[in-house]
Amino acid sequence: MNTPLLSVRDLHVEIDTSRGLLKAIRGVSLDVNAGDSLGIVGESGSGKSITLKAIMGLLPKNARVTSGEIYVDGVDLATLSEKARRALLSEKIGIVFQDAIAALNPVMRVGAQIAETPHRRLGWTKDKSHARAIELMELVGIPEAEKRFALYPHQLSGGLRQRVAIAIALSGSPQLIFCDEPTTALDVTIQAQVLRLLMELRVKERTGLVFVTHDLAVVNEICDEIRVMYAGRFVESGSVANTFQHPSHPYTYSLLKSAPDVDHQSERLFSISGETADLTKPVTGCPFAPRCFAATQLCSESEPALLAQASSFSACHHAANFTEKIPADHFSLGTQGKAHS
Amino acid sequence: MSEIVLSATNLSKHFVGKQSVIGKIRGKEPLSVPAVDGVDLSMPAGSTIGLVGESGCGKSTLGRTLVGLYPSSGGSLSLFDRQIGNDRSLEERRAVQMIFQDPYSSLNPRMKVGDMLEEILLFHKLADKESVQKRCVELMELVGLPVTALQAYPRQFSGGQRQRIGIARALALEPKILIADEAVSALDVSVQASIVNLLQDLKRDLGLTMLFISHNIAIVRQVSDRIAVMYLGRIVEEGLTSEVFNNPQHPYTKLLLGSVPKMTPGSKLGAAPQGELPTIQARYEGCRFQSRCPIATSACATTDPALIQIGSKDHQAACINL
Repeated sequence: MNTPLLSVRDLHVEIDTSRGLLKAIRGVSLDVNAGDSLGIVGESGSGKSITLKAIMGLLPKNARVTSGEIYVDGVDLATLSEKARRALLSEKIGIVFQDAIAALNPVMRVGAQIAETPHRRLGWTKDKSHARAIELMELVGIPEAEKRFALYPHQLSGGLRQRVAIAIALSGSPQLIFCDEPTTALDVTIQAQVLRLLMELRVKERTGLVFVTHDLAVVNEICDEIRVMYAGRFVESGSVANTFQHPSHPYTYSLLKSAPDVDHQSERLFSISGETADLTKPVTGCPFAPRCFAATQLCSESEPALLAQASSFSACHHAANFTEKIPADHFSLGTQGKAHS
Repeated sequence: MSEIVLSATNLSKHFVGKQSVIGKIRGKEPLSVPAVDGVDLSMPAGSTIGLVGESGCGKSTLGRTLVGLYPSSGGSLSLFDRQIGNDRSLEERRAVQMIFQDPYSSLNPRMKVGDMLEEILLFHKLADKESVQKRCVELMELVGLPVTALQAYPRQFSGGQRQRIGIARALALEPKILIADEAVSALDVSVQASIVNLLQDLKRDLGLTMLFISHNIAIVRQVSDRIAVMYLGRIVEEGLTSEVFNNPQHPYTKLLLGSVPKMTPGSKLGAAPQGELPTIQARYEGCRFQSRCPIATSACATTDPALIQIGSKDHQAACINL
């Protein structure tokens, strides 16, 4: 067995909020290899972005990792000094954020921002780093790279800014790229260009991808593996092909049914009533149970673990037979907005 | 053919910049941005029209001009066969209402939901002091909120609930036409589904006509009877939803639809579309789409295409190469 590029074991993250201590991540484990593409989906507040930030050591001041291990290329990050940890992470992993304008330095020319990593960290000469930056700008499809090298972020369009952010993420030749909703703020036409670029990088450079998004269709297009996150845990884990056809968790089923598909027009969309679990309160039982159509007494008493099913992993007591309980009139679920108190 | 409730003919909205003193002396024209530039659109009673396009194409400006939030700069608008100008009567304003994208900034944070609704109802004389409470309760029921919501401030609600309040505010005026401008774009998928379903129920039960503006093409397909595709201030294709999606004609519509990620297993994105939306110019020579168009010919540089009928179907597109 070769060591995975990234391995996360039972990660826990807590955040201090005005409403009390919030258990944002409650035991997340994850393995990613070179060339993998993994999509993490879930609603706002489910802990998708926090997971990425915790791995990268980019948590906000009021948040901290309380337990768990993170291995990058087999090295336990906890054993490293702050400096060595940062060096290892920036060598292996690049990250692209949703909001490119906030991620870029507004008073630094974009070319210089891309050349910074090769120049500073890899110790390349100025000329060589400059040439590398131009090469990266061409790779990510920025037309007239030489001319745009000297522009500032505000002089570029949203699509170009996101490309610059991707070029920066690639500048240290990482083996893995974290994408935190990189296309959510973009138009569909530009989104298609950026997604295509990421797919090409994966094929050409065997760059691994971890893609956090709330858009299931995007995951379907570019990922092989999917993790569905709910209330700080993975509730389903499996291949995209399999999970989209045979979800083994009621939450995954509901999410898939509530997402409109451009290829089909359905009578009504499935809607999940109620609100996501409040993680400042202790979790007893399955956090999805109050919104679940298949919940039983058992579900409110014990929280299910992520266990192997026929073809995937599911954290549901009724993973094997919840489909029998899909309400025949499921389209009427929540349409009157009941349970919205 | 059902009755046309709202129709725009050659409607335009130009934003004109400030003119400098020197510019005035030199007789230079001030900067003018034609965000909506010659739009023809009719809304048949009881239908939902989906308006799609990239950011900056003028979708929201068109919506706001139809509601009357922006005075139009040219063309005409008619409501139930009556011409309406830029100074609308109370009754005309009531007939067309808007649901905004951001339920956080479109509600007064210092006013309880009930007080806000009461103010609207009393001002428009849709209820008197005795009946106003009853009407507020009815509105809450209509949008699926508990009656206790009337005593709460907007900040006490989640995004989906706030959007329901925004819908109740619009419905309080008993409108005939709803303009939903990215009404579900800021919401999570599951909440989005419940708001979309609510809008469809209300439209059916109250006999509303709706313009659904969104950049999310999958949602638009879900709710709309007809689709209008907008590009740089113009409508380039319009027709029945099934027609436009199954048989897109305009090269821009094809590019737009080809870029949408799909839920179908094994789907892989089509060829990457080229270029991005150029900034709006004051004037155009020929077709606006020619710079990105894969089938542009020399004639496109000189001819400004008008919307023409496609086949015998209820479907039109603005391209000279069809």
